[in-house]
Amino acid sequence: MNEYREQTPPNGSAAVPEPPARPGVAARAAQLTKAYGEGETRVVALDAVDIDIPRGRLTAIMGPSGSGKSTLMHCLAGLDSVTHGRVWIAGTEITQLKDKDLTKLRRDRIGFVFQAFNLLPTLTALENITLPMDIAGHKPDPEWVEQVVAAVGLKDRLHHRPAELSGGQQQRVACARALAARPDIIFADEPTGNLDSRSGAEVLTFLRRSVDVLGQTVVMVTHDPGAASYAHHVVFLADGRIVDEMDAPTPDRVLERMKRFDAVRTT
Amino acid sequence: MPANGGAARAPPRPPPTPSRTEPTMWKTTLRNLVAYRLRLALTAVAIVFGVAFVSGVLTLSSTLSKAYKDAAATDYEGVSVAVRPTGDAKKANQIPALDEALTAKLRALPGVASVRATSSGFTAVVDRDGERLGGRRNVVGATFSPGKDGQDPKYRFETGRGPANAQEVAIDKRVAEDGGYKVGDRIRVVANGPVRDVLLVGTFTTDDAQYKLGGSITLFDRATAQQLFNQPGRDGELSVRTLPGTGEEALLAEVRPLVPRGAEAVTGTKLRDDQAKDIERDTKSLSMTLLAFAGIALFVGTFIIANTFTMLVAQRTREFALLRAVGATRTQVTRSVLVEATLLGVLSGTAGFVLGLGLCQGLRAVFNAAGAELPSGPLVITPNAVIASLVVGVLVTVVAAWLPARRAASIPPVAALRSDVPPTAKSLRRRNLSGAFMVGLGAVICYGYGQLKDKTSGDVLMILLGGAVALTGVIMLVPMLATPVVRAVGLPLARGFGISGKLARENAVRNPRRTAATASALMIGLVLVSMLSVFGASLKQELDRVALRGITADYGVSLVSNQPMDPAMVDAVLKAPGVQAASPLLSTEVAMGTGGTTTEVTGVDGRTGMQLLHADFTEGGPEGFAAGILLDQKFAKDHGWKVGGTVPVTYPDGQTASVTVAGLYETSLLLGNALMPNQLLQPHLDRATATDVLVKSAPGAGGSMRDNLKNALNRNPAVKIMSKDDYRKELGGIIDLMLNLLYALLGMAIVIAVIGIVNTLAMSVFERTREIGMLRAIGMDRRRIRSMIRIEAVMISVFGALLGTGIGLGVGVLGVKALKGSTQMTPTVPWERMGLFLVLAALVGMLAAAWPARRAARMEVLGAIKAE
Ligand SMILES: Nc1ncnc2c1ncn2[C@@H]1O[C@H](COP(=O)(O)OP(=O)(O)OP(=O)(O)O)[C@@H](O)[C@H]1O
Ligand SMILES: [Mg+2]
Repeated sequence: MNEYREQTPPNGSAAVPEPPARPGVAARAAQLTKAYGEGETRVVALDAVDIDIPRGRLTAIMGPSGSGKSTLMHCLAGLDSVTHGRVWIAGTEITQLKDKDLTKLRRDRIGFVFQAFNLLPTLTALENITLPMDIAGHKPDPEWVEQVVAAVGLKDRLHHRPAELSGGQQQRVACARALAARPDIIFADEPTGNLDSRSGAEVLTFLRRSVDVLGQTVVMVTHDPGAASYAHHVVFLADGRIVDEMDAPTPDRVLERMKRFDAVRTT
Repeated sequence: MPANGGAARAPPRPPPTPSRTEPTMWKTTLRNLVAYRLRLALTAVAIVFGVAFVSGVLTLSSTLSKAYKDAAATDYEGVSVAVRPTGDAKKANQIPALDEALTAKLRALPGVASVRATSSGFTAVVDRDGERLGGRRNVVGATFSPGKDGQDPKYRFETGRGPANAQEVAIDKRVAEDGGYKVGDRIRVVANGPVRDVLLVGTFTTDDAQYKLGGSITLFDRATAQQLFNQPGRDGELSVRTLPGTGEEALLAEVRPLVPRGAEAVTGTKLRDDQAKDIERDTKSLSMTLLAFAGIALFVGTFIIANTFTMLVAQRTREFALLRAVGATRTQVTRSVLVEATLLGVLSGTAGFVLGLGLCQGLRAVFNAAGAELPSGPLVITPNAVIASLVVGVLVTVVAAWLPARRAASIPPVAALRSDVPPTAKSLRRRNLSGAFMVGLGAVICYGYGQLKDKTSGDVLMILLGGAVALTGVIMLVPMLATPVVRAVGLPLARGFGISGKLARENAVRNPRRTAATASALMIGLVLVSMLSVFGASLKQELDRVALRGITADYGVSLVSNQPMDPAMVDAVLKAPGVQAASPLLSTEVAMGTGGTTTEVTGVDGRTGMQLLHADFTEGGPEGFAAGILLDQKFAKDHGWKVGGTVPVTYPDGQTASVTVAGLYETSLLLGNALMPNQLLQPHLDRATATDVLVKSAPGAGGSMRDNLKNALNRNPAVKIMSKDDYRKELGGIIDLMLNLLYALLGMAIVIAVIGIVNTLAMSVFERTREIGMLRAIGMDRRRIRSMIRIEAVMISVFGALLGTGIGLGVGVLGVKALKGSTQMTPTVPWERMGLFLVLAALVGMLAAAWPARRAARMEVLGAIKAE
């Protein structure tokens, strides 16, 4: 997986013919539909979504509550099954995979940052960071780990347990964990949802730096226009469809765009 | 629940409706029970099992009592006064003169309708292959005692008639069918003597208890029964029936002056009362013993319940804090938890009671498998059993939930506002201090009494008490031990199983109190099991030693009934080919010294006896034995008797003599206080009392000796010929049987402990839902999630087992040492068995983890992450 990434430029978005194998695409969904329930109670959370997540960039997914952001992220990350459509992660179609292979894929190619409860309370920060490698049975690359730890700025707190860390620090440890295994792609669902603006900014800066400096690919779900402005690219979701995209977002532009949803809704 | 009660008191609320407070509280409590049903169900199982034990035991006891009473109901029917040997006479092997003359005198008394003369003892019917029919119990022979009409009211003949002479017998219908015998057949029966070849003249049914309890009955004519079971001309019992109008007491007064030495007269009412009391006492002592085990199971259960409630309270911290925030008082919170506990107790008590009925049958089966031959009969359910089940169920649950309830009440209202509740890691210091104090106190008691030179049984009890105190202390210290011990135990597992092992180890030490409570439950059972194992092994080794060193005879010949043997049989053994030395072994009570207290005396032949038994002489020796007595050196010292001196003795027949002390020997389980030559003892006994004949085979006769003996006794099926090895095996077998029975009874405590492990794990898995989801999300596969939970379980159970076997072993060794004064036992540790316990504990851990591990592995990743 690493060599694969090394072949592509950090900000590459070159278009290559065969959709699943496009080197500039870290994850891709085609005609992705996700429905919950049956008959009367059927809810279509995602409605034939086509999306390419460009490699080496920070993509933000935005949209009103209930628009299907989390669902999209879960389906892309192989955490949830899809109703229709196909999903690829770094050229591997995951919609066909069995649980075992999916688990392995998540372990080797995907990193996660959740809104909260990312860390095992029994392990120290450092142990949490190297946990994915422990699970995979790989020896962590000490230089890389050091680099990641330095990037999160937690050098002196490595041997503390999560309970002894602040919420922002915990989230940064979670980010470090996601990065440490050098996955093809990191998914973050409202990583700053539980944080105050300063801690949130720390985490977001870190995520952006990991993309710019380390060449990581990150997908982030967020509510917050400010957070979205850290992204290279924003995808807007409404009622399970992609309704808009935006490059080089600023908080004002994102806020402006979001307001239009409310307007649509009230009419 | 106080939610509304409390809210009702908060001022700015809509007007409360007081009448609805109680129902709402009930509703909320019930809803909680439903919401936490899975977790509570496991707790309930622990209570159910404990209660089932109690209800099973109580039901068993009333069932047995009823069965015995029913069977015995007609035994003394119509008896007004009975004349029978006194207990002392029986012990001293005296046969009082209950004879024809006395019968005639009794018949002549005014108001007497009839006198029945009976004798009874072991008698088995032999089948066509020469084997005994029926078991060993209730296989009896008795007198056919016809009245003037020629009928014996006790027996209802189906075919034929009663026996009229020594050549005839009647047998009960069941055994006749078993043997395929009909009236007119020649059959063989065997009492405590040679096999008798007789004519079957009748078959019958009867209400006799022994028949009803499944035994067999053979009827002889009076003279034959006298000869077989007492001595010619003497009956075992005379029962007098009055004419209408004569009272029992009046008759008793008339009978008393006629009663010969060694006999007593009692009224039928007393006989019936005594019998009822005996049955009560026997079943009661059985149920008390069993209830002790039920108590252990319940004690273990309280740990499980307390643990569950603690976990439930922890999980509901926010809820309780919210209640407090809206105005519920501490008392209300406490009460709400206790009400839940009470409801759970009632439910489990009821279920436990029902399950107990099944367990009752199970206990019966266990005892019958151990050879108890308990009667069958319908279950007798008493209101007491129902009440006891409910009370025990509720009490145990409420007591166990008490501390958790208090803890729930002490949750501050602000806890509701915190997003994540830090685990209240209360300091263990106070607990550790008191635990250490208890352990110290227990150790001091054990050590102090262990040092005493001459121990009495009270001292042994004190040592056990010390053990119990120390054990309580250890239970308090377990949380402190949990972290280091589990870490140590877990190290190899953590190394061997990679990340699953590492996480399991961390999880196991995460909440020391919880791990400790879980492990303690297993520990308690194992302390007792290992202690008993040490006792059993030591006793077995001691018996082996005694059998090996103490008996130099090669064979022992005895009857399956363990009754005294017919003198003709003893003679036959003595004269069997290939016998180098043989001696009947007598056992009786003789009063020694001036005090008149009797002591158990073993009699062997004065010339050959000491070739068959071995004694370690401290003084004197076997040389003067033919005309003297050998004494236990300690016994002799206590009385101031010395070799060469004399001991005044009073024989069972009342005669006194002075006997020379020929030697003193080391205390031995086998030899008892005194050995006397048969030549001195036999003349003072009314009947042959040899229960065993010891035989040493001549050189060269070894291989065929057993067969020689069998043939000498005409292959009598009532005879048992045992080599030294057979003895050892039999004694060892009895110890093993006892141990297995105890293991089985303690099994319930262990089962409950296992439920505790399941419970703790299941709740931990539930609490860690999100963690497990996160682990799954970042790539831990189901297999490793499963092994993580399993390894945690193994660590906890091995921790409990290590503590349990360790403590049990210590207490066992000390206990055996404490007994050393009265026996020669040296502590023996059955290491393989201890190892087995540890291995089993690990397996039990795996087993207990099966379900929680599966639940953990089955969790949907998303569901787990989203879980609130
Ligand atoms: N397990 C489920 N069962 C049924 N419907 C579901 C389930 N999960 C999500 N939904 C529905 O799917 C739709 C999309 O949900 P999703 O969680 O993706 O929204 P979201 O954009 O992440 O919202 P938010 O910003 O509030 O987190 C919603 O209408 C939601 O009600
Ligand atoms: Mg969401």
